[in-house]
Amino acid sequence: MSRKKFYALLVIAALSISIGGVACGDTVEDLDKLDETYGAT
Amino acid sequence: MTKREPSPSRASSERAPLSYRARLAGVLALVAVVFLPLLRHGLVYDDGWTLRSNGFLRPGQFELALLFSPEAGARHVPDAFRPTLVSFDALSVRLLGVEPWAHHGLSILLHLSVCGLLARLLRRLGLDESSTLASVALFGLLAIHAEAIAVVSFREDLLAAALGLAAMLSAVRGIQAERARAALGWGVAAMGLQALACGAKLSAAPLPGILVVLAWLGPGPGCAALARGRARLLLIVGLLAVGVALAVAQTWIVHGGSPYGVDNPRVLAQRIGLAPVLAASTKIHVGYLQQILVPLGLSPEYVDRGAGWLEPATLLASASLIALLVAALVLRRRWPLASFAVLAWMLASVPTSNLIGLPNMRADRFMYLPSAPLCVALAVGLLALGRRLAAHPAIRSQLEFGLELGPDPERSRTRDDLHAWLPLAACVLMQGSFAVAEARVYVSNTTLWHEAARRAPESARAHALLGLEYSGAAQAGDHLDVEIAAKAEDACRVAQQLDPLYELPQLCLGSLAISRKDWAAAYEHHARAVELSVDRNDRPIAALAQLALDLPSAWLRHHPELGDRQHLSRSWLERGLGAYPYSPELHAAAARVHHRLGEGERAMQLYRRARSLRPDRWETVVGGVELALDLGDAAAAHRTWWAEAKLLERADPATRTRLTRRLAAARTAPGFSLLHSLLDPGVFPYEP
Repeated sequence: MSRKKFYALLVIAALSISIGGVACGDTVEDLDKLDETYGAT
Repeated sequence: MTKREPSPSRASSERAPLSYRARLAGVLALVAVVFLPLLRHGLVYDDGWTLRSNGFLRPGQFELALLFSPEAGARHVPDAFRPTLVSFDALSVRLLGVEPWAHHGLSILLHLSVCGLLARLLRRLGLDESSTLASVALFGLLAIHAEAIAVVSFREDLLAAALGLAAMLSAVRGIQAERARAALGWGVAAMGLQALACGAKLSAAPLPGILVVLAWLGPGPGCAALARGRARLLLIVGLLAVGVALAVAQTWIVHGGSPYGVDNPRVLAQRIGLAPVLAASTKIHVGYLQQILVPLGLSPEYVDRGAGWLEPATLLASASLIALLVAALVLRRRWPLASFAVLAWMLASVPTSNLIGLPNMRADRFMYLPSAPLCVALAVGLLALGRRLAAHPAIRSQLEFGLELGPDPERSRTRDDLHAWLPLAACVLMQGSFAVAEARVYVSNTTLWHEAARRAPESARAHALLGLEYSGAAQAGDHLDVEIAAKAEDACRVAQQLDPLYELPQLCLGSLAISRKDWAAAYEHHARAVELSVDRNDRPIAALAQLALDLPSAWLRHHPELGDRQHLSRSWLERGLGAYPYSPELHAAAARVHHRLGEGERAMQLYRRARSLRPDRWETVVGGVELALDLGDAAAAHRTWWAEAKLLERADPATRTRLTRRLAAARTAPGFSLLHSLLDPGVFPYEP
């Protein structure tokens, strides 16, 4: 596989995963009001 | 004007096939780019406990020797039974501070290191280049790894995997070495790396067993040499086992047995017994397999619950696991790689299989290292499927028609090559997409616990921690947002109903009571939390020591056993400071108590200690400046106010306004000198 084709495939893969990541998740992001919490485990 | 033709040498270099190293670098770059959005994430989950509020990691506090003595457990050093991790954290805090983006960047680098080491090991075992690259791509983007990569404090899994793979690589080189001296050198290196890996997390402990299975099944061309010299294999496996024993001995020295305590109620097996926990564990492991293959149902939180051995779901899960084991053993000669993958996954899952009690029965991060052999088998299988599909006449003609390619043999070879990768590419893209989606859950604590409560509605922890987030958000200075406070109370009450014997719902209700200035209720909830909890009591004790001074007289009259306010507050502080000498919040709270009691010198001493344990906490600096003003040292107060201007920008507006007014008033005093203030060393003269 040529250099150009390989890099193009990597870019396409990165873009597809980014788009797929948006499509696969339904998380509503919210920022913290506090800068510390109690531990969880 | 004519278009410039590319020079023949440049054109041929562009057409020349890429080297293996360049393609590996490309795959690693893809993994890095996919996880790059993590750099905007905050510190979540246990990051506050292990990193930000862990005074032991700060310069001047960290002592390596302490991690090999029972004193580490007695002083409640976070994760004291993981000396490699604690040392790594101390080094990273010294180099990077506590900036979230820097630590997320470090986690991504660790993940890339694991991928790189996996590639090196696979090549050493004789796997071909294409299969190695495919395995690395799949492992690097596997969705179930999102939690381990996205949460800074879970880098213990990444560190253990990186060191464990390095130990395996050394062990394989030791077995393959021609000279005995070189073999011994590699073996000792493997032992050291294995001890360090298990010192990061005991999830690396089964690696010697996996090496034996590797030598037995010989799934790759390079594995044949592993089984040739049995004495050499035994020596290296023995050295790896010594590495594991060293790490176990450290845990034993520090905690005298289980790091979670022998009667920890957070370990479900302590409450309901081991049998129902193991029954549930069979279902959990079938669930892990499904999530590795099809990443549906991933979650930041799972509810710990037992199961009966005769329940249909348990029977089905147990039968599936046994069938898988039998199939792996029976088909070991026909499909050695698949057999190895199954057996290695089972062995690697042992440390987190709930045979030994853990505070979480299930977590996505537990599958970080165990998923590696499955990824290799899956990637090789998908490549084989792709080659078979590409060679199939019907599919081949359809693809040729679709792509409208000509008869050029070079293009035809490239096309065949690409077709062979299609099933793997589809799988990697799917896994990567789910990994990106899952990683977003960990952007902030509010998002994390909101999602956790949504996906695991029966989790008391998720509701309690969501309630704590709401409770903090409800208060802005002296103003209380009634609507958010009501949401906080709902979450706290749900958590309490789900688990009445859990400390977090009590802390949630206590925090809410503080927001509502109901000091008696806050004291009762925090006292109950300390009663229920076996560890991490520094913050509740800090709250109790301060609340004790504000308890209403009527309430105290009903509790004569508690004594007077000052005595009660001092007794909490004595207990807390003795048990948690590295807690910055507790030292700052103790300073405030002594400040209120008019013991300026002791208060200043404690503020300075709190500052050295966590320099990035503005509340401690504000306390020190106010104390200096109360002691009449306006010069020190001003010097610190100016020197810490950037840090104090994070203080809430009400606090900043109060301090500004007090400093302005101090400047009107007859003895105030601007020059004196500039030359003064300030409240915290000995910077850490």
